[in-house]
Amino acid sequence: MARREGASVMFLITNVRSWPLSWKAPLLTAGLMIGIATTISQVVLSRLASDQESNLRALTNAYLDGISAAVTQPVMRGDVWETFDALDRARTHYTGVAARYVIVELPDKRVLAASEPLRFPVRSSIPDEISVHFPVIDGLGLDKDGGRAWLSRTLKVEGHSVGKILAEIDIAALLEVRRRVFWTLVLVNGAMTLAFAAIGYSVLQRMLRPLGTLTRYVERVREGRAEPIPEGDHHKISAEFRRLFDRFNAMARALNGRETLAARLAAQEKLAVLGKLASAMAHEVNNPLGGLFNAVDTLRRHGADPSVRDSTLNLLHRGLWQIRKVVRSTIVTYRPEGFSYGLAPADIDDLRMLVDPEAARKNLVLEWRNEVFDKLPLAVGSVRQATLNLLLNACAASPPGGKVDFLAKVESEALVVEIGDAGPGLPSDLAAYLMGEGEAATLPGDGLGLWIVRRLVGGERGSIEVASTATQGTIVRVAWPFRKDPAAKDEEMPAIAEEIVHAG
Amino acid sequence: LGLRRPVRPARRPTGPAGDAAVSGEPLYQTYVAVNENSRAQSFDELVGTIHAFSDPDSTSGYLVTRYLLAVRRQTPASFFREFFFTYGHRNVVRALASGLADSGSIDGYVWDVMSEREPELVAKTRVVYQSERLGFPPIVCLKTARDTETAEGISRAFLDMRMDALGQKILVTLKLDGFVAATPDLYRATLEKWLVVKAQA
Repeated sequence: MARREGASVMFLITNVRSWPLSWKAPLLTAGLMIGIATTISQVVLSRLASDQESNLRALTNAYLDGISAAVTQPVMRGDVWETFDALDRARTHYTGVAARYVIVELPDKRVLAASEPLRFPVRSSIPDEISVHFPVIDGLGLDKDGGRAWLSRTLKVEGHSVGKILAEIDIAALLEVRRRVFWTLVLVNGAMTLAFAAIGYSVLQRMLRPLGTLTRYVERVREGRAEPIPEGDHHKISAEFRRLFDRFNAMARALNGRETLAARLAAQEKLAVLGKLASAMAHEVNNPLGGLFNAVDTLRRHGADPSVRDSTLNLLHRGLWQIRKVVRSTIVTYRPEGFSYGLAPADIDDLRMLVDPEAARKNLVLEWRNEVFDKLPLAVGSVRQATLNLLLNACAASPPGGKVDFLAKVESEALVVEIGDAGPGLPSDLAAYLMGEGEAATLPGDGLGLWIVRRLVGGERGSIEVASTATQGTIVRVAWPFRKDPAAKDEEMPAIAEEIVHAG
Repeated sequence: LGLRRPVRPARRPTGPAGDAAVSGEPLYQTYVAVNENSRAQSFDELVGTIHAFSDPDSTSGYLVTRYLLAVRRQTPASFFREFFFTYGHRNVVRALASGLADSGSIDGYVWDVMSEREPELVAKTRVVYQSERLGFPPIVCLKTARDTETAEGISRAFLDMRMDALGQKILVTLKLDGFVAATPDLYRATLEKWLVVKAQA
């Protein structure tokens, strides 16, 4: 059971089309929000990166312009101190540029002065591992992962190079701004996505609530109770659902009318069946009656003879016994208290008494196999009446001299009854109706019996299968699952059966 | 400390003149200092270093060191790996403290004052040589203007500075005891050094 539930959950998860609308719409909203948020974030970050780089270029150009103006003359003179002094003062003058170091390199690739003299001493060469970072042509080189940038600017006097300014600057602050913007976007968009999904879910749940109400009432129809939706539920719902509710109620009222009509027809059918049974019973009772009268006459004439009296009394007893069985069986089937729980093997065998006259009338062979040996937790009257109806149908369908098979057995916590006839086969729409697949367009004649069978079996949560061919006849297989708590169902269950039995 | 020993007017009077007096005497020293990380302990160990001079016209910031080199038959170009002028005694300290220069020639009076006013900067330097005491740089005027009222007024202002309230504030700021009249004899040692350097050139 658990495995089946797990499988159905998995199917639900993997089959997106079967997801409820109240999931799909919020998920769609969330998906769209994520898409929009991702696109906007990428545009914003890309624009931010572009602007930052552009600003950085403008800023570093201004920085290099300022330093160039300050150091060009000292560099021309080879003035170490003035060059250093200009670089040293630039530390405080350009707060927008976080220079890690600035070097003034002479055309002979030697350092004239640097802002970090201990690292780049006067007249030393710049180590290769550092010089490799600087752009060969004047400009800006970026290391976004390392959070550093390298600047290079040639100092020119009248078109001749007199030296070069090389600087490494820290751009970690810019990257930090970018990182903060990124996380702000992620958090804000994430929160908005969640909020929209939650609002979408809540709103849709509210909008689809009438659908849940409708589903509940449709489900009741399937269970045989066509109840109109109360008018109070029509308020505060959209016009579409209000129209749907009105149409459903019109349908429920029509269905109820049809049910009432069908119940009346069922009662008439029952009376007809009773008539048939009464006639058969009269025949059954009449048969031994001749013998009984003979026996009474024999007793009057030869009652003094003990041997004759005993044998005649035995005959009388057998005859009366036969009559009592027929009468009892009829009473059990048609009395209201017959819808109690606890189906005994004899309750099934009794039915044979009711069918035998009909079988005999048509000269049918009744193959009777009852493999039920224990009392079963099932509604006696309901099972008996449904089975009797099917047996009578089988007798009616079979040609004279044909064979009707009956088998009752216990299978997987259920009573299974199979009834086979040699008739021309059940029309497919009636067979489908019997199996609970849709409504038969018309239920003429014997169809009413099928309607009763379906209602009785459905009421007991049983199932019906029909195998029908024109040449092989029909086999109807009914399974009644055992009630786990029969007592709890005593009040609820007989409603359908009583409606059928006592209708009219 | 007060003004200890008044000095007579200069040999060749150049008008109102005065010498600043530190520690009661109008004398000061030349310091040769190095960066705190240097291992040098004496002037001779400064060979091959990058040297920062103060000013080519300065006694303490150039002449004394040139004299020390001249008596060793050396020049700044031959003795030092590299040398440059910072045109300010404080700049020499900055050059030494930053590591731009390994050694430097500086006015001892400036170094002493800076060690009180900018101890963090001066702490990055260390004095390895102190010269003899030489006459403190004089305040001079043209010989033709010596007897003018203006020159005498300025001279009086300097010489009487310690007697005046505002003057005392100025002296405190300059870390000086006062100004005294001086004779050219005070600068004889300086002159001799200049002559030695000039002879080498």
